[in-house]
Amino acid sequence: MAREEPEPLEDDDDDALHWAGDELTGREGARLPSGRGSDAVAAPADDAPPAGPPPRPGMAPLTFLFAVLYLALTVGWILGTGFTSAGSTQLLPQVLWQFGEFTAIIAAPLWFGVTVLLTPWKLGARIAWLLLGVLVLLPWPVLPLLVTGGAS
Amino acid sequence: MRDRVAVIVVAVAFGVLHLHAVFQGIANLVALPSFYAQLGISAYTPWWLLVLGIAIPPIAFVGALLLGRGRILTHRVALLAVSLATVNALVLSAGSLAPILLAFAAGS
Repeated sequence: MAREEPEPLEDDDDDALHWAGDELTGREGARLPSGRGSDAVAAPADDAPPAGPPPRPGMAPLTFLFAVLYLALTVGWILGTGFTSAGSTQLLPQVLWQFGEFTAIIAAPLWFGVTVLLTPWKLGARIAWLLLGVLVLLPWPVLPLLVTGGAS
Repeated sequence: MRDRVAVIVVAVAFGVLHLHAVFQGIANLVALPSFYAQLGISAYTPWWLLVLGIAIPPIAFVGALLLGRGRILTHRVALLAVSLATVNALVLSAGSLAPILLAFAAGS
């Protein structure tokens, strides 16, 4: 009984098991264009449309500079809340005051994060909002520490 | 419909939290002038600071609501959280600024 030998796989068959752009990941990977018919072909990586406008030059360093500033503001608020008190020993005012102090401490990182989140490609708007935040969130309660130089 | 309800619930919740800052501002407006009067320094009452203490919380709240219009719920919550945190930071700042202003006014 003669046994038929299977034909060796050709390179073309191997190719059929791969999609174009399989080896590419992230932004370089091919994407199927949305809103087209079922015969749509994945575009090559170079032709893939960007997800949005390209980032402005100078945006990253300026954002980093403001990140450092906002970190300083946060440290200022952490230190400054040590100089404030609720002025009451009752439970509810104490709890509300502690909540207020906590939110004051996280105000700077919140402002920074939300500004960066909502102004992805708008350099001017991002700088304006971050500048406003620095002015508004100056940690005035830390002033006694600066005046006394930390001496108690 | 469900999204609209969620937006309203979030707005009301943050509105109540902002109200606490308004009450603090009102309490300061009532207490501080009489305290300064007892000390005989009522001329140094920082009226502008007391008025700002009441005006800023609703302004910040409405501003966050307006900025959040047309955005997803997460972004609205984030904006309202920034507003609340900023208002509370300003309340603490005002409490620290009042004695500083008094010291400057008395010194000049």
